[in-house]
Amino acid sequence: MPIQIDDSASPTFQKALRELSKQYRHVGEDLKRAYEAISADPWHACNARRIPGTSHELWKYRVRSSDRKRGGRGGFRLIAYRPPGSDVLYPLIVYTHSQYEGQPPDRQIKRAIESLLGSLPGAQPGLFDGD
Amino acid sequence: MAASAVPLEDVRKAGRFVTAVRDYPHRSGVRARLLRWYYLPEAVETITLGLSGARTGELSREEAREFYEHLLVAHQALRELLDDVRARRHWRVLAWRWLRRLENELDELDDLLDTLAWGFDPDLQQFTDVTVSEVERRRQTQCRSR
Repeated sequence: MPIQIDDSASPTFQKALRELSKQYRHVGEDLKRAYEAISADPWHACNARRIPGTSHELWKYRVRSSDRKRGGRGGFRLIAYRPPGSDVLYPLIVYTHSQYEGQPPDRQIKRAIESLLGSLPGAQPGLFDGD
Repeated sequence: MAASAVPLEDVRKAGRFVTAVRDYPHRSGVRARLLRWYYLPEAVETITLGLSGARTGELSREEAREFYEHLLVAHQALRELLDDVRARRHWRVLAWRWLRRLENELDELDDLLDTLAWGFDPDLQQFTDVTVSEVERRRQTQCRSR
């Protein structure tokens, strides 16, 4: 089932992309190529893996970087959310393996989801004040 | 959304196999060579293919933790074995294709471990459940308001 990718909904994603593009000039083109592959086959393209232990659909992808020339490891990691029954995938975070040992810290992931929330209407201020 | 066809039990077996091969690195018998040069890449591929796509999402938190712990040992064993081969010039030259293949698989295994670790992190889990539900609620509000 082909799906659409909306990477404009999450401000954190946009910010991460701007940061990465300072260092990796072709990150935009790399992501565009990845989006095409993911749109066509979202559950297998770009080493897709669904994050376990949650009823929600969070997916992790590996995106090759044409700037780093080191295969998948040298590439980017993309974490995206797909609402149930929706044909739209929302990228939440993009990062390189060298930025974080393993994956981004909890706080970063929380901020990314929070920023996606904030960009949608009906935001409840203070929901994450405890962080 | 088809999940991988590799049975989970095969993934467990492959993990045990990868860990066991570490104990053979210096032996030059036919069996050890076969294990190392031929069956090892196959076993690592079984792991990474077996836990790919939607399959990881089907794991419960307990299963995610179990596989994480099991495969972490296999990952460590594989890393040690590759370091050992890289340290020997003779082997490094002869087995460059094997090394490249396994280095890619090691990266893949690395990513798999990161994904599995997410599955049983209680803080992240709780947050994800709450916030993603909230995203969904707002998305539906947005759809209704259009």
